Amino acid sequence: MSAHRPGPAVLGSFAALVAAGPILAVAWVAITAPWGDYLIHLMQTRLTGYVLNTVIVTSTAMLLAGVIGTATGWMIARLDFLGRGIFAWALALPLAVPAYVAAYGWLDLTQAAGPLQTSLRDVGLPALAHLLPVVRGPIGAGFVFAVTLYPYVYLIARQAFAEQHPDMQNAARTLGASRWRTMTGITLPLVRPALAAGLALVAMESIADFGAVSHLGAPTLTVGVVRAWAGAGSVPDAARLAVVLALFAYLAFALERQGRARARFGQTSGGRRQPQRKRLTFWPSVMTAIVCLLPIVLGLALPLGRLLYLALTEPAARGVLGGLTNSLWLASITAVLAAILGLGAAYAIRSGTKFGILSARLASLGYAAPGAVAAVGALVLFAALQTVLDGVWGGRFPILLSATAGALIFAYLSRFAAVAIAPSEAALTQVTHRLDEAAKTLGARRRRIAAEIHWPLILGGVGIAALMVFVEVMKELPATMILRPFNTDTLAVIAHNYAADERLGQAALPSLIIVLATIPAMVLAARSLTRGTDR
Amino acid sequence: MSAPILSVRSAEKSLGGTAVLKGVDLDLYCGQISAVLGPSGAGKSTLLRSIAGLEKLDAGQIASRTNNWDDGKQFTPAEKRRVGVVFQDYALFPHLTVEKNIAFGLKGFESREAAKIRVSELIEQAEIQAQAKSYPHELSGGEQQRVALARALAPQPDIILLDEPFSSLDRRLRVDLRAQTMSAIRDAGAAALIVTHDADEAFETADTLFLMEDGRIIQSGPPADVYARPGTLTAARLLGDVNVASGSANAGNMETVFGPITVRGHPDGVTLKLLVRPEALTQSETGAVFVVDDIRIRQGRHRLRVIASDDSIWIAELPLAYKIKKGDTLRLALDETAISILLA
Repeated sequence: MSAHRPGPAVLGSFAALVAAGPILAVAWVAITAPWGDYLIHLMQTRLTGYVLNTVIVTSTAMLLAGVIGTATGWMIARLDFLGRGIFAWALALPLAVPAYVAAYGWLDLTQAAGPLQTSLRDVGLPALAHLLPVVRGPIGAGFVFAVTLYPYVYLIARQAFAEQHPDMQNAARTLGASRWRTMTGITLPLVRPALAAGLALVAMESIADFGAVSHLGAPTLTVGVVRAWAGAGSVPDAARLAVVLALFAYLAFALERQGRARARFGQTSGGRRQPQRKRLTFWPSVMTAIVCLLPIVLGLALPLGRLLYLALTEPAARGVLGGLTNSLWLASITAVLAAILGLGAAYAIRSGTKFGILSARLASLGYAAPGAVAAVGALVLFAALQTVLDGVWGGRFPILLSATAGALIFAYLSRFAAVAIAPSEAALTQVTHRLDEAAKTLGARRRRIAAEIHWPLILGGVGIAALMVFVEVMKELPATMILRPFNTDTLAVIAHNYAADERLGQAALPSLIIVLATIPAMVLAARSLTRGTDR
Repeated sequence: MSAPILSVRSAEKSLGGTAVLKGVDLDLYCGQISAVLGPSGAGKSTLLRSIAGLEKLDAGQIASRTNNWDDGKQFTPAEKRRVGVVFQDYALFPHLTVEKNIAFGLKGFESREAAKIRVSELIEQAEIQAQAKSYPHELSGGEQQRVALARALAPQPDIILLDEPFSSLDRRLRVDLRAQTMSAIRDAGAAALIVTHDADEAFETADTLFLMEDGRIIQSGPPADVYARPGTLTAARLLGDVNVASGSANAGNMETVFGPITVRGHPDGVTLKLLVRPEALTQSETGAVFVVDDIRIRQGRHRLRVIASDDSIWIAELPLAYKIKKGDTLRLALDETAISILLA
C-alpha cells in the first residue's frame, strides 16, 4: 500500500482543521476570556432552565422517536403489506421537514385560537377543546422532534432488521424459544446498538435546534447561546454556554459511535441471506399500513397542511425570492466544498495511515457541534484572523470575514463536512485495494485508476454527500442567525423572524419552500442509503 | 432395526415458484448418523429446514415416533419440535457469551442448577473452557463450530441436524473437527442428519447415505454399497470420478476396450453403460493398451488421463512409485469386482 498520497491526506487534515477549529476556539475563549456579569447573572437565573429543558426535550424526543422508528423499521424490514414499497421511502420524508417548520404548524393547529380547538368549540364541545393538549413547552418540542427526526431511527433500524441473518431467529426457535422470547431475547438486542446510533442522531439534532424550541417556548442551551450573542453581544459568555452545550452533544455523539462500533460486531456470520418478509393477510395488512401512515401524517401532512392553508389564505411575505436565492447559493457552495472535503477525509481513512484516520475522525467530530457552537467558534477564529491581518496591514484591513458569507460557509462546513464523510467512505469501501492492484497489473497508472475505476464507483456516494449537505444548509437556522451578513437573510431566517413576530401566515411560504427544496434530495438520499437492503 | 425416530414421506416443497423437494422419503434412527449428499440446489437444506420446522411442506408428511409434525393439517413449529440444528454459519447469538449461547435452549427445561451443570459439561466436552465468557466474534472458526454443536446438543434432542457444518473451515481443521463432532454425536445417542456436498465428508461420517439430486433422493444405503453400486450415472458422479463406456449386451457379454466383460441378466441388444472408478484400473501385462496423455498428482497418487485404442479417454489412478511420463504406453486391466453396469 502506498502511504505517499499527499492529496487526500492534505484534504483530510484540512477537513479536520475546519471541523475542529471552531470548537477549539470556543473552548479557548471560554477558558481565557474575562468573566462578565452576564453569565453569573445567567447562572443564577436561567441556566438551570436551559439545562432542564435540554434534558426533557431530548429525552422525550428519543423515547418517542425510538418507538416510532423501531416499530416502522421492523414492519418495513419483516412484513409485506399494502403499500409497503411506498412506505419504505415515504417514512423517511419527515426528515425533510425542519423541526421549526413542524413546530410552526403544530402550535398553530393546537393552540386555543387554532382550528382544532375552535372547531371543537363550534360543535359544542368546549370541555373537549380544553382537554386537547397544545403542542408547546419542552414536552411539545420533544414531540415535534420525534415526529420529524424518527426517520434516523427508522432508517438505521430497518437496515439492522433487514440484515439480521434469519438463522438467528431460526436457531432460537429450534432451541425452543417462543416468538416473544425470540423477539425480546434475540431480535431486539441484536439491533440495540443500531438503535442507539439512530437515537443519538435524534438527540444531537434536538440539542442543536434553535427554531423549534424558541418558537414553542422551551428555551434550551442552544437558545441560550444565541441569546448570549445576539442579546448580550458577549462572545465569551456565548462560548461558555456553548461549551456546556457541546458537552451534551458529545455525550450523544459518543453514544452514536459506540453504537455503530458494536453494531459491526453484531454480525459474526458471513452469510448475506436476508430474512423473508412475512406476507400479511388483508386486515392485518391494512392495519399495518395505517400504523405506517401515522408518523407521516404527524411529521409531514398535518403541520405542512396547516402551513399550506395559511400560505394560501394570508398575504405573502416579502423578500421570499431573495431569501430563496441566498439559501440556494449558500447551500450549493457549501455542498460542493463539503463533498470535496468529505471525499478527502474518506480517502484519508482509506489510506490506512494513522494520521489520515485520526484527521478524518476529528473531522467527523464537527457534526456533533451544534450550529450555534460552530458559529461562535467561527466568530472567534475570524476575529482573531482580522486582528492578525490588521497588524500586518498596519491599520484596518478591508473588512474581512466576520460579516461576510465566508465565515458562515466556514461554520457550515465545520458542522456539515462530517455529513459528507460517511457516504463517501461507504462508496470508497466498494473500491477495494484489490481493484487498485488489479488495475495496476493491467498497466493502469494512478491517474487512470482514479478516473476509470474510483470515480465511477464513488460518484454516486459523493453526489449523495453533496445532496445531504445541501439539505442541511437549506434547513440550518442558529448558525445562520448568528453569522449571516447584512441583507443576506435565508429562507430559514425569514421564516423564523416572521414566526417570532407571530406572523405565521408570512412564515408559511418560506417554510414550505424549504421543505419543497429538500424533499427531492431527501428521497434520493433515503433511497440510495437503503438500496442494498430493499430487494 | 427398531422403528425410525423420524420419517419423511413424499415431502414436497416449492420456494418462489420452483419445486425444491419433489417427493422425498427418508428415515432416521436413534444412534445412527445419516448424510444427505448432493450438489448445491439439490434441496438438501430445504429438506433439513423442513425437518427442523423452519419450512412447512406443501405436501407429504414428517412425523416423529410419537407425533405428526407436518402433514398438511397439523404443523408443529420449530420451537416445539426439540430438534437440534447446527446452522451452516453457526448462527451464534453475537450478543451472548459462549456460556449463554449454550444455555439458551435450556430455559424452562431443567432447574437452573442442572442447566449450569449441563453447560459446564458441554463446555468441557467441547474443550472451550477458556472461551466460556468470550463472545462469538472473539472465537476462531473451529471454536465457533464447537460452540454451535454444544448449543444444539444442550437440550439433549433426539434428533440433530447439521447443515454443511464444516464448510467454512480449512481442510486440516475440518478433518479433526469432523472426528470430534461425530464422536460427540454418537455419545449423545441421537439420530443425526448431516447435509453436505462433500463426498469425503459423507463417507467419513455417515452410517447411511442419501444421495439427493433435483429435489429427489436418488439412492440410499450404507456408503460402501452406494459407492460400489451406484444406481444411476448421476449417483456415481456425486461420489467421485467415474469412467463411462457404452456398449450393448450380446450373449451375456459386453464388448469393451478391455475385451468382453460379463453382463448377466441383460437381454441381447440392449444398450448398457459401464461405470469404472479410476482406482478399478490396474497395471497388468495382459491389459489393454493406453497412451498417457496427461499426468497429475492427487492425494499421493498419479492421476492419469489415458487414451485407449478406440480413442476413448479414461481416467486412471496408479501409485506414485511407478515412473510414468506423458506419451508412455501402459497396459491397464479392469478389476471386475469394482465396476457397475447400468441400463443406458
